[in-house]
Amino acid sequence: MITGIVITSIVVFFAFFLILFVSLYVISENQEEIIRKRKESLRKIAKMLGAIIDSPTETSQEYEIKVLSNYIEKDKRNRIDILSNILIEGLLLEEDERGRKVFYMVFEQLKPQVYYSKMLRRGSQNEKAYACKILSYFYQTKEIPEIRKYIFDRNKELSYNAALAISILGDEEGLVKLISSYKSNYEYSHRIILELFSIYSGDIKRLAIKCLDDCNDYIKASVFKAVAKYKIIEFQDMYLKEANNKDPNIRAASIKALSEIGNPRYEQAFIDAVHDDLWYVRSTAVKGLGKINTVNSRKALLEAVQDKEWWVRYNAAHVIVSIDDNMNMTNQVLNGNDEFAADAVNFALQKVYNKSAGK
Amino acid sequence: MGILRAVIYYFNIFCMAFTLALSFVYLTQLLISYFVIQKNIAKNIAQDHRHYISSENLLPISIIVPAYNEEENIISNIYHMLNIDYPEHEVIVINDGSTDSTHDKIVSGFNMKQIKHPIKVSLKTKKIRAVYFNPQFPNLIYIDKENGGKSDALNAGINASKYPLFVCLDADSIIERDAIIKISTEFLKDTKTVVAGGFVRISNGSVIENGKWKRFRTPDLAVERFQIVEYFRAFLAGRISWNSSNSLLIVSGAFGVFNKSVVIEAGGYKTDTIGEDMEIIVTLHQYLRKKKRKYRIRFIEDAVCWTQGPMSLQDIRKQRRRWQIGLMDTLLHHKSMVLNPRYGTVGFFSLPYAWVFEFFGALVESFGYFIIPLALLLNELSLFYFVLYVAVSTLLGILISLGGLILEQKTNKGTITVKQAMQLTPYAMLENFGYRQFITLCRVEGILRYRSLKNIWSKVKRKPFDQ
Repeated sequence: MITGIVITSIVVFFAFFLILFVSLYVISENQEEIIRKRKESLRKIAKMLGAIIDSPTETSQEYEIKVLSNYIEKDKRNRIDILSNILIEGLLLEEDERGRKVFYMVFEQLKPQVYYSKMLRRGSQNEKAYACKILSYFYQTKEIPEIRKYIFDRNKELSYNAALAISILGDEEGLVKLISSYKSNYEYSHRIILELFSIYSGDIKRLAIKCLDDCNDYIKASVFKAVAKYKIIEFQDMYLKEANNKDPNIRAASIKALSEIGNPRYEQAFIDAVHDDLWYVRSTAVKGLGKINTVNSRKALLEAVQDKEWWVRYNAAHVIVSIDDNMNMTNQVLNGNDEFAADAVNFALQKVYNKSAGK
Repeated sequence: MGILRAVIYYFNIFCMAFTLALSFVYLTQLLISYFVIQKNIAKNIAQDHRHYISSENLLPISIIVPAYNEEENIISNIYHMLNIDYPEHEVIVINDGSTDSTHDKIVSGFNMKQIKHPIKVSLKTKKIRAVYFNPQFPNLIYIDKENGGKSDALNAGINASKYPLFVCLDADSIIERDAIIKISTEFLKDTKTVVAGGFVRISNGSVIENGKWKRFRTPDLAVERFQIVEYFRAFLAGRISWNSSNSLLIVSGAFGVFNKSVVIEAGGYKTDTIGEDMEIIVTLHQYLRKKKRKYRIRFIEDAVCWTQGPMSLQDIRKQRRRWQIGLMDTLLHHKSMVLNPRYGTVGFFSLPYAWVFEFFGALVESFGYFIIPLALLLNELSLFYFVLYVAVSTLLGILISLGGLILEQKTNKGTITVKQAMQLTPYAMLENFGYRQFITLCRVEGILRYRSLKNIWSKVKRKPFDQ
């Protein structure tokens, strides 16, 4: 009886272990095979592209492209993906004119975009997301209507990739709709709006105007932040007006945008902002004061470096040190009565210029 | 005598049922994780983290590296941190009163000069002795402070940091170049994210050059191989399954990204504990749920950090004892959250799980090692059931350990080759014959010596990564 139990247990144990061991082996082998195949395909495709570039005549080039095409067809799913990634990188980064021309020729003849267009229509949600990305990198503007369908998809990965894709493709209408929808959706960080603007291939000013047309405070502040670096002069009056908005994010964003433009005309706006109740508005204003570098702005900076908030002092000190060529302001702070202000300036001096200037 | 026999009989049944229940819980976690990983692999095809490398719109990040007697690896690690793929970041190294040459190595290695650095004190810490800086490394700040423990060093780092996200990173760990980018995009895509942790893997044996992890190599020592198997199970089964219900109780102290303002609001790291990584996460759960704020604490298995595991049983003993004390500390400190409806899944599932299986589990399991054979000797347990129990529990143990390895292979990283996976397989099996029992006893020691070791950080021996 006992011998039977023991023998059965041992047999069950080994059978069980064997099943697990074989499963692990199969999974590992499978993974390794996928990686090995991918590396091999990558190596071969790169070699074939090299052969196309080095082909001396058009006929031989045509022949090499045909060879590549046949190779891709044999395992289209994986190889078209490898080729597409090489082409995207090549078309964007290849410095050699001949190389770029060849990449373009391969793209024209092998038409990888057709594969992704099909994927966009028939693939799984995740495949659709991937297709959005690749089609936007191939700049397939004709796919805009199809991609736009997915910007509000419930699958997050798909809606996110579709959003980035329409932005890269310059779809103003779709992007305005999308950004407007963020009025009531705070799931994404406002930095996603900034990213959508920074990769947008259309007219930034027009996009901003349309987004501001019907928006709430959150969108307004985000759009201001997104377009600040483009220094759009036509927006300056709007920025000046909004610098007094009751929403602190809009105030800060307006001041940030005005700081980027840096016109001395905004002196009063910066001086008002440096006395704002909220520290991050004051902190933003400090940069603008440094940029315009007027007599009054320098006075305001000397006040700001004594601010009760650490970050305002820190930023003001850095601005003072960076604009103060003859060290007048710096010495004034270092010799003044505010120990915290002196510390901040001393730190900025050491950090920026590796100079020590004790009190 | 009759009463004693009855006690042994019932306690024996309890121990057997308990250990089997624990195995079934682990098994369920494995299954959940398997499906989550499968789903994530499909999702990842469209992820494009590299898109953000040159973007200005990622949240800037402060990498905080607390260092206590880390002379072996500190220089190469700092260089590695300075060169990670991230558009805007600073590295803040805090020497927490090291008694070895950590300080001298950093100062001379980076030609640091002492500067007067005003620090905004949002969290109280032990005294900062000096702040060092070299304009040649504008992203690096080195802080030398009095010894106050890892939590205190982290709080000092938070105070000195200037960016809205911070990474807490152990000085003996190496993150993969794109690990932080993978995590920080989660903060962009979901503003509810307050913490995200990565997958910590054992680096022992791996090829590491100039502070960069190059490729996996199976370590020589059995204790190191056991830990590799164990970490796969813990991270890929445990963390992924808890993550799916937003009730993770720990983000590894070796690698986690935090929203700084939320951590400051919640009071920062508690300094009188040695289990700061669990403590801060449970504190955040408590704070945010009390405030009725929507939040997410995430685990991203795709973001990888490599850490050196202990190389001797003695060091494993110290480490596990410390972990158990940390666990106990946190559970006691937050006991009011257990079964409290205000704390949702954390109060109803993950904390009771930690109490029952992580805390009492160690005690029950070790009692079982004595009670079950005793019951057999006293004929309170038939040989049939004894053999059946041993066979079932061992098979479940092996299934769980091998399950961890299978999950690792499923993650599609190709880090471990077939041959290496096969080399680790015997350890997934052997782990159940001695190693697991040893770990349980270390945990029990932690419970028994809780009071005396509560504030002692037993440092384990490290060796330079490049060796």
